[in-house]
Formats: sequence, C-alpha cells, structure tokens
Amino acid sequence: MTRPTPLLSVRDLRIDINTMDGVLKAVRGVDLDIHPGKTLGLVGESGCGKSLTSKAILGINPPNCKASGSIQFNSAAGSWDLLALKPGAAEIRGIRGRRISMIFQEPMTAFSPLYTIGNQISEILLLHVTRDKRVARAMAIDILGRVGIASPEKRIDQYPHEYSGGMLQRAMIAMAIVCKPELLIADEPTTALDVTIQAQILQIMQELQQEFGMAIFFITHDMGTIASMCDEVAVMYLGQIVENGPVRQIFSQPLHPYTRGLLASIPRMGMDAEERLASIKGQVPVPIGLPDTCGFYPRCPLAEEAVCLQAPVPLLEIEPGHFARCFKAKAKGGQDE
Amino acid sequence: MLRFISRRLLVMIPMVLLISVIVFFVIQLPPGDFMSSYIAKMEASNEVFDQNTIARMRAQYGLDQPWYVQYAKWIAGILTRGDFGYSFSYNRPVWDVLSQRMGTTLAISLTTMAFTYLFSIPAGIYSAVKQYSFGDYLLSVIGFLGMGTPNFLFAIILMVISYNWFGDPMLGLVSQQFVNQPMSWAKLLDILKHMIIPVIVIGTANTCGLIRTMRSQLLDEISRPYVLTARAKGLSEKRILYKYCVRAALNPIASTIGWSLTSIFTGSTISAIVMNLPTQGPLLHQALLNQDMYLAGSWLLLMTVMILLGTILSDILLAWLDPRIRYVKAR
Repeated sequence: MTRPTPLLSVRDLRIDINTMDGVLKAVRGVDLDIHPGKTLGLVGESGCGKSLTSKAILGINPPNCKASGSIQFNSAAGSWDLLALKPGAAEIRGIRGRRISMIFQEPMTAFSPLYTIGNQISEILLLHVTRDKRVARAMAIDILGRVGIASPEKRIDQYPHEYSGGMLQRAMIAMAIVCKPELLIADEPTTALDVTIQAQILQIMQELQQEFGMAIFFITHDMGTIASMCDEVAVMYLGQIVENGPVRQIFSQPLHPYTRGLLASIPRMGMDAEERLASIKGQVPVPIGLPDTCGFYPRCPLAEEAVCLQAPVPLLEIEPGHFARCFKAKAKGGQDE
Repeated sequence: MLRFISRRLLVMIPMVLLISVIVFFVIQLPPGDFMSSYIAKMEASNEVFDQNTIARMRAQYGLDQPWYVQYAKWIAGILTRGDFGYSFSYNRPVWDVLSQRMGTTLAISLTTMAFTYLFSIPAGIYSAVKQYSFGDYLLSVIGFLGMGTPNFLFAIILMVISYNWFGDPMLGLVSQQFVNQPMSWAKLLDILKHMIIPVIVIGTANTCGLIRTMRSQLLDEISRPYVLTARAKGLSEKRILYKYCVRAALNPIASTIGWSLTSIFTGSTISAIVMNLPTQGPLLHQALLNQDMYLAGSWLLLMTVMILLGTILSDILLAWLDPRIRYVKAR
C-alpha cells in the first residue's frame, strides 16, 4: 500500500520527565503520521502523554521534559526535524504559529487578559506575515468574522474577559489559522466548553479545514468527537500508541482491549437508566520504573500471563493499515469474535 | 478614566475630614497638654509659675477649651487661610516648620523609592527567570540581610565604615562648611554624597520584599497557559516575558506603591534620627514628645493625604496595567 509522504512523521518519540521519585517515562516510543489535509485523532485519558506529544511537535514542553526520537515535518517551505531544532531559537519560532499552530484546552486562560483580542491576533500576523499594522488589523477582523464572531470590527478591540468561553475558543481558532498553517494542533479544544458550543466549534474547524486545506492533529479524550472529526485515530495508553488505524475500522472493529473499553464507556441513547455505564477496572499506573511489557496488562480483561508478559508488545499490523499493540488482537473473523 | 480619577478625588474629601477628627482626638488623648509638659520642664529648673499665669497662658493658646472647639478652630484655619496652627515648641507657624523639612524629606524619599524600584524590579525578574541559580540565591541573601538588619543598626555600621575609610561618618544631609551656603555644584555633590547611606539603608529595607514579590508573581505568570499560547505563536522568550508576564506581575507592586510612598516617608524615622537627617520623621517624634499638638496633628493630616493620594495613584496604575480592573470600576 503506497501512501503519499506524510506532512508530519513522528518516530520513536520518547519524553522523560525528571521528578523527585525518579524518571517518569511519559511518552514511550510514539510513532505517528499526519497526512496533508487530513485529520488524525489522538485519544487517551488524562496523563497518558497525549498533550506532551502534541507540544513536543512545537518544542514548547517545559525544559525538564527530555525528548528523543524524531519529528520530521515536510512543509511546502522545506523539511525539518523539529526535535533537532533548538527550542526558542529563530528557526523553530518561524515554524510555530506560521506553519504549525496550536489551540489549547482552556480558551479562558489561553489569552493574556492584558491585551485586546485584536492585539493578540495582530501580533502573530506582524510576526510572520506583514509589517503593516493596518493590514494586520484588517486581516484579524476578517478572520474573526470567518470563525463566526458577530460584528468583528467592534469585537476586535475588546478584552478576553468580555468574551464568552465559546467566543474565546473561536478567537483562538482564528488566531491559530490566520497565518494559514499547514498543520493545526488542537489540544482538547472543546473540553472546557458546553456541549452545544462544542458542536459549533468542531463544525467551524471542519469548515476551515476544507477551506484552507490544513491537516489537523486532534487531541481529545472523547471518543464521540473523534468519530465526527477524524480520518484516522491513534489510541494512546501510558505513553504508547496501543491502536492505530482509520476511524471507521477503529469504531467498527476495535482490536485492543483498551480501545474496546473506551468505546464501551460511551453512554448511548436508549440506555436503561438503571444500567451502569461500563468502565475499565483499576487505575492508570504512574509510569515510573514500569516494565517494558504490556502497560495495560494489570487492567486488561483478556490478560493471560503466559502470552502477555513474555516480551514487550510491538505495534502489530492486524489488518492492512490497522495496528494494535496486543498479542491477543485478532483480525475480523478470528476466534476472538 | 478621567471620571474615575475625579470621582476618587471627590471621595477623598470626606475621608480626609473624618480622619482629621480622629487624628486630633487621638492626639488630645494623653493626659496633660503642651503647657503642662512645658511647666514640668520649667519647674525642673526651679522656675515657679502661679496658677493665674498658667491659666492665662492656657487661654492664650486656646488650651482651656474642649477638644472639639480647638479642632473646629484648627480645621477652619486650614480650610480658610491655609493656616495649620502654631507650633508651641518652635514658636513658629506649623506650616513653616513643616515646609522647611519638606524638600529634604521629598528628596530622600523619592531617591530612595527610585533606588528601591529600579533595583528590585529587575532583580526580581532576574531571580524568577534564573530560578535557583547562583544569582537568584545571592539576591535573596542580600535582600534578606537588608530586611533582617534593623535599619538604625545598618545605618550605624555604614557610618562607621564610612568614617574609617573616608574619614567622614556622613552625618546629616550636608557637610558643615556648606551649611547656610547658597546652592552650588559643590554643595549638590556634597548632598548627593550624604544621601548614599540613607538611600541604601532605607532602600534595602523595602527591596527584599519587592524582589520576593516580583519573583513569585513572575514565576506564577510564567507558568500560565497564555505563555504557552504566546510561545506557540512563535514569539521570542524575551518578548513573552516583557510584553505579557512582567506587566501582569507588576500588579501587586503597583497596588502597594501608594503605601510605600508614605512608609518611606515615615518608616525611616529611627534611621533619620541616628543619621541626623533633617526629615519629617524626627520632627513628628519631637512633636509627640512635647505634646506640640498642632504640629503633630498637621503632620499626621498631611500623611493621611499622602496615603490617600498614594492609594489613588496605585489604583490608576492598576487600571492602566490591567484592563479587567478598568472595566469593573467603570460600571
């Protein structure tokens, strides 16, 4: 199966954090490919390393996070190994916001309260695109209108505290796409918002993706938004990708017991009110001094010592394009069903 | 903004009046008055007054009337004629006594303030950016030493050092040969030389707190999500620091600048006595000892006005720094 060159390929990304209790292996060998114009979803629970992975792409993790591996970015303007660039130096700063931009989980705190929305959007334009303040302002007004903010020419001079959460996230998206980046990283962009606003934000992101043709790296813990947003999904658990494949296959044919657990824990319409929502037993262990064998083993319903603990589990291609990190995963028609 | 400032100034008027009543009342509280302490002193040197003379002198100064009548006369004088009353111990109008020392006090306190802020804000920024570095620890040690050493002791130490090394303890604000001389370059230079010790002594007392405030505030701000946003936009660390973090971190410092204006004014009394500085602090000290009530009262009243003005200054600075405050106030 031949595929076009990915826009971004992450290879063997490892992030270690030095803590008082020892080295915390937050990300343990992640491989990801993001293709131009497509959306890759990264799903996993809090603390599984998905946020660190996304921030490593821009090199904006705190200095106590040591990253290794490679992050190859094949932009129209050139190719870089982002991990090899010096963080904070001019080269990666030219990529940040211009070629790869990011939106964050909490729009209320992601803007500085001290400057107007217009100031903060114009700033990124003045940095990367134009030196003319009037041009930047006109572009900022235009982009605010595009993300659905009414009377942007007035709103542009307002401060973040005069916006609602949903509007701030719109403004955040506006700021992220105003330089027309090739890749947009969205780190749980709807988690802090009301459900009705969530749907609007997701819709805006999809519309803008079609209009600008950018790729989206969508990070969430919500399987529901993955289904509506993504072309491909990677499921992350304890710093590793445990399942990876096209969104349809993941939902119709989940291979890894963790993915199945996640899908089973989504509440469905028509569920009996008395019925308890399925949950995954146990808790996520702290990744300090863990063995290299399957990280999900202690919580896994299929756990079998003789099979599971014999060796570190590689990411196995169970079906074409559909990978799972589980010795017991079987393709459709296998004995597991 | 203009409306906000003028409204704050208007609110100040009843505040000042109310405080002036309290101030006058409190000054009246100790038993006796200027006459009794004066007579006590005179009697110590064997001079005897008969009751009539005493009563006549009391009446002459208005001391025989109840405190609220005295207050009414005093405040009416201030409001109508700008007359702050008469200083018994100096035998001159209070305003003369106060204004004579105003220049030196302002010079010392403003220089000290400039020194304090110009030193501690950059030091705090450095300490936060290079947290746990050698420089951070060094600044902390210097700061805590400055705060921990009593000011008067520090002043004495510096004067001794100055005397041993330069042969001049730098007492007072101007050398003997320049007293009563007109202002000249040589005299200015001499005054500046004499200001070094007071500025260091009074200044270091406040720098420590300011450095620590600035440091911890900035550390808070550096870890805020908006810094990550700014970084993801491609801004340089320097720009993020100065445009976003420092401005936000200045908030608590701006809110206390009003008080520090007065605390530098008053808090240096003991050091000023030790260093023989002709500032306002020792003046109040003497006035209170002598029960020189109009002088003390006027002095405290001026302090009140300073505190209130300082607070307004703080509010204006805060509103300028942080738009959220601006809008809440305007409503």
